[in-house]
Amino acid sequence: MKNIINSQIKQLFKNKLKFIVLLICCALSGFIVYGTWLDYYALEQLPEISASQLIIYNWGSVIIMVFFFVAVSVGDICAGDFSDKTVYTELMSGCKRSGTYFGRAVVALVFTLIGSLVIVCAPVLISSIIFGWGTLVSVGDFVTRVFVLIVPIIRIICEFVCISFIVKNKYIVLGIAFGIVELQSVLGNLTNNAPAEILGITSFERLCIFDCWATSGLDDRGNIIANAALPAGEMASIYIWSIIASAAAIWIGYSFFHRDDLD
Amino acid sequence: MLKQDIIYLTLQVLSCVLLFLLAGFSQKYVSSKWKLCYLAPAVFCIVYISTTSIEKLLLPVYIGAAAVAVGFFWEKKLLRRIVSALCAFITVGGLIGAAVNPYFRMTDYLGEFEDTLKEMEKRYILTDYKQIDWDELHDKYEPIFREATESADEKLNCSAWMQLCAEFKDGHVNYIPEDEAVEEEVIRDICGRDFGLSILNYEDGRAVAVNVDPSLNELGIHDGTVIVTWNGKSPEDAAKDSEAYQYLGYADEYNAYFYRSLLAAGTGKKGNVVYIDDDGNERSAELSSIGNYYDRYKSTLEKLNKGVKAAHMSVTELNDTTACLRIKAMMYVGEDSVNTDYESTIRSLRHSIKEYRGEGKENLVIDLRGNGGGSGTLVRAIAGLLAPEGEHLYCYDGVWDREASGYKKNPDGTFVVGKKNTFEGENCLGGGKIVILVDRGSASASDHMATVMSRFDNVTVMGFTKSCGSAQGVTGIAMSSGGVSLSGSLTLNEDGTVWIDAGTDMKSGSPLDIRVPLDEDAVKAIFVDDTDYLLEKALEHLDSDK
Repeated sequence: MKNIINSQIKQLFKNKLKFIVLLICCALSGFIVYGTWLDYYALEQLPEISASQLIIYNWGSVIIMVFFFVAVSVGDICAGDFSDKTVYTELMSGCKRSGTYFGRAVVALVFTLIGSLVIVCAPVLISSIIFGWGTLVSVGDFVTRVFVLIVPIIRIICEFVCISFIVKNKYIVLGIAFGIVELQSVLGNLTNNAPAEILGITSFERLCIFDCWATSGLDDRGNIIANAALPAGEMASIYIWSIIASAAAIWIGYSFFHRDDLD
Repeated sequence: MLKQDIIYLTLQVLSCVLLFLLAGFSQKYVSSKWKLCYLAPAVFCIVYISTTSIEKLLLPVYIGAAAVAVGFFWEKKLLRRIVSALCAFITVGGLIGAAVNPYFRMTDYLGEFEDTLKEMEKRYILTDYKQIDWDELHDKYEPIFREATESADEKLNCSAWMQLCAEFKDGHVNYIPEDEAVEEEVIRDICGRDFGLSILNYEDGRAVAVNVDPSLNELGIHDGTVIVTWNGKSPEDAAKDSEAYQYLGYADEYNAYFYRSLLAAGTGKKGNVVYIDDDGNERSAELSSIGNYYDRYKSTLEKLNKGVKAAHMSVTELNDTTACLRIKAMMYVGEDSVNTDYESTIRSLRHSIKEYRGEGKENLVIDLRGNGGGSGTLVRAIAGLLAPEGEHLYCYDGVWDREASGYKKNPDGTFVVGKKNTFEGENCLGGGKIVILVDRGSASASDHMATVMSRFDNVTVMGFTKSCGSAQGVTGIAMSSGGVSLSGSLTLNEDGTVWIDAGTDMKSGSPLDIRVPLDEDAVKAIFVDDTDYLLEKALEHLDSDK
């Protein structure tokens, strides 16, 4: 497995696709920052222009970027070697299936998690540098959310690892990601009563989209009050369910790959 | 039961049948891919839950869906068939059980109450001013919501919220149920029986029958008949026996006093009434119920406060010297529904008013009856159009304290005054007289308009009662069973006191320059002749000013 991990790391730096996608996702952060600026000057309702305004109003936009980055990155690492038959060569040369599976899964997990966190934090950092932090959300609340966010991201990565080893085609993985996003936008509108921990993407939404309310003057910019602190029970629930789902996804993926007919 | 529940449970049964058959088929045509099919029920189950919510009664169905995944890990035909069949049976059982169980998909009313009350406490800005004791409210209503949850009683939940909101005596604190039919059922339940009449009080205090059913005429009871007692009590006291009395949340004492006997005629199993007949003799009668009092209650209020029959935001001719601007809500649905400066509305009003002025109509009646409010910006635009030239005060904003998450206060208990909101007058009417007609339904932005414009020398506010008396900015809290609105943004007077809204004394700052007395003439005009008595009084007032 160690050799597989080493070769995957080498391949990671050789093949620039994932870095390009990461770069594009980070560049798209610029649009989120622009959206923040636009909201402030166009809506004429927001109390301040700041990183914390971005967190309250636009941070949710990173969910889609992270989701597609995970699909591209994990799909390429875990399913990319099926198309050029590298996996078959590995297995015929004596590698265990567990090594092939977990070696790729570990690299996919670490690289994609780091990349995802960069996407999550980039617009906030850029906005903070340009506009300042602001007063709507404290840095502590933001850091707590990012910290909790790590586990749902791991969950989504593990689920895509599982999907990648089942479909064995990185383009189909990307198509599935697109399908999930579409399904979520269609079905998600039916009701908002579902528990946040039910899906990785809903856990992500719960953490990235803030409950807030406003007070306002007769025609002045309002005061946005965000319920930034997450209840401990909810955080624990998201944590526990994400860990269970991650383990289940890895187990299912391995169970399938372990006895799969590789034709 | 939701449509999604039926679709999902049916699909799950079908998928289990297919997986049962697949167990045999996959033995004949061997492929490692078949086992993926046994994950399908679990995946569908997750998608289903994510679009609805977790329902405890369907827990066996969820477990069944997860159990089918056993077929993914173990490829034995018998095992796959057992789990598929088991899941199908559990799902059919779940489908039947869900259809007959009243607790299925029931909202946790108690949990919703706890969460919403906490949120209300956080957001409500008049807590000290109206001396709201949140703990007391919680302790009073918690058992009712608990009972509503335990008995899956949607109506009890709705009625508890309506009562709770009435406790605030704030026109902005309201419960908006998800299902309006439930609200109407509750109101019908609490209004009591209809015995063929409503009761109001004359200005001199006498209680009189109004909106009387013709069937009572043979007893000598008609519109204006003086009612001495209702079921042995004065009508005012009898009204307090009505269950609906707990649901009244008048913000202003004028309204509470004017309508003090209106609920009386719905009380009791029989209507034992003592009245003065046309000969001046005291007589009694036992009236039988002819329906639900809600219908008569509603029609009495409609007759009393019907307003000018004209299109919203239209200017119409009343007589040679006066036109009427009817504003049914402080909002406009045309081009200006997206323009917050209401430019086209004001342009159109300016044009109409100038046209009428050209025809010699120098006076204007602004009818705000039943206008529940809307945009303060529209109020400012209309008030600016009609105000004398120069700068005029609208109100002051409060100053939000982000640290304390509340409005800043002075040591003397008043609020710190923020931005002064003003507007420029255009004097479009050229100094003609204006009468603003209000009733208890003129709330929020209507309160604003009456108050702001009453400061002009040429404006008179008229009505049987004051307007609602609730003028703070509104915020809303959504719940599964509906929503709650409440005062969430502060508006102030120059001295830092709350603008318009009443404190515990129920003396609101909404103006009433002429209180039109409800007397014999008024009752005859409204309930017998079916005329707009208030409008007639407004025209009389404008003519007398000449």
